[in-house]
Amino acid sequence: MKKDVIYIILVICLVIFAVAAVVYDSYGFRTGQRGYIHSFQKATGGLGLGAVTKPAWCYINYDTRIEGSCSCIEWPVPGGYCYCPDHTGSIASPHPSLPHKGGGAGLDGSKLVRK
Amino acid sequence: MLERHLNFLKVASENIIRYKGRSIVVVLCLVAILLPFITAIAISQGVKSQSLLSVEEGADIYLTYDQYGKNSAVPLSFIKEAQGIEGILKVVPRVIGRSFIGNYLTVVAGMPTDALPPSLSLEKGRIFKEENEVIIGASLARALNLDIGHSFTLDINKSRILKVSGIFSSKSSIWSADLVFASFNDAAEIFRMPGQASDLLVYTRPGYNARIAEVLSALHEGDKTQPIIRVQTKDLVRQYFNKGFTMKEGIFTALYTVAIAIAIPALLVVSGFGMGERRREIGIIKAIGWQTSEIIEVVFIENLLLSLTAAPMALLISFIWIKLFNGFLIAQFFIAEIGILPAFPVPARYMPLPLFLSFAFALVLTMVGSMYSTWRSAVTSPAVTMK
Repeated sequence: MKKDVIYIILVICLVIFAVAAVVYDSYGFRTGQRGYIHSFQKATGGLGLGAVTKPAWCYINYDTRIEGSCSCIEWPVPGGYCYCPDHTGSIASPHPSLPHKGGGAGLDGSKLVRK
Repeated sequence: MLERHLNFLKVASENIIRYKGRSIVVVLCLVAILLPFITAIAISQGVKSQSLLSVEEGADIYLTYDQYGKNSAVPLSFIKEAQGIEGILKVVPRVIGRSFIGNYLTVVAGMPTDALPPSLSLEKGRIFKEENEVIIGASLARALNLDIGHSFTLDINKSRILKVSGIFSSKSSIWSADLVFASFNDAAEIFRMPGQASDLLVYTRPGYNARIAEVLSALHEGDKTQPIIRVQTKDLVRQYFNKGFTMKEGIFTALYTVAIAIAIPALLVVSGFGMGERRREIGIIKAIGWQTSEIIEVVFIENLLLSLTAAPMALLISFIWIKLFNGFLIAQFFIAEIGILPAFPVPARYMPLPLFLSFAFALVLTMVGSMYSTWRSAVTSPAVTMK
């Protein structure tokens, strides 16, 4: 078989494998891990929202429901630069600037929103 | 007609084989550019899927006190106030806090034992039954070499010796990894906050959510000595979630578009390897009667084949790296605090859109890198290009 034909077959195989990986992954998520996550989330009442395993700096990226404002804005200089890396260092985090219902601080900790 | 295009396909694939060095360099460059993009979007989608379950399986309303603009503990006496409101099915107190074990940070959560589901999927062991028994996360167990029956103390309260009764499965989601999960009373005692919950989980009848949230928010309105109540409904949490993930993925894609735009001139230079010979070749085929449009079509098919090689290859490498090698070295760039080799399956979902986008990026890159130089060679007199 000619090399160019082999190359075209190789490209077709790559595309088929890539599509198969995407299909397998979406099926695998539905059947594999979901049960464990359901069970864990039910037990804890819903815990975790962002791409961080523990709130080393603040809770915003871990779970905004637990703490909506970053306490790092209060130190070392209150109101000064926020050194917390959790707001920018991740590819996924809940949005930290929505005001919350019922009053208190906005989620960015910078303004008071009271209904 | 079709045969003509099939012949162009044959010529294009022969060209790719003939200029092997150039083709390999282009494909490797494309894979290097696309791999982090595909991986980041896949991990973002994986975390998003797990987060969605966290929202859907969570409470309908989360209620805390708000002091100095921060969440603060709610006395358990508040449960009686809330339970009288029509439409509320149950109110469950919860404790969430942080504590170190030596240098290792853990999240401590406490739920009443009667609020737990009848069965909990654990790696091993069982749910806590006796006082001071806890379930711990897989990462924590591995890092501190803890197993069923082992005892440890949290730095925040060294007087309470905790015993491991179970270990969460590593598949339980990334947030279980470093968790110490105890009964509500034990968790409250650990933080020396008896009679207080860090938040109340309110479960409501369908359709009552918004109205109950309004009523709960207004409970202390008339009494200025009472703390402000912070209420977060499931809908509000969904809003954080959707807006946050969309924004982060959007930012990442935008940054990548800029990076790829910068990569275009780099690839232009790279794909220029062997152009002298290529120019002469274009001159020869022009001299034997090829049209400019036919030459451009061949180059387009070449780029199509290179893109169809690079994009699926990048996805497959990323897939193998994440699913088989569990994101060794790479996952820590996208999920904070997990270390070099995560103790849980790195959440990642490979969707069709990033694969298609990667292919489109690759095609645009290669087209920009080659079309202009090909067209210049094709419109120049064969006598000049064949020199």
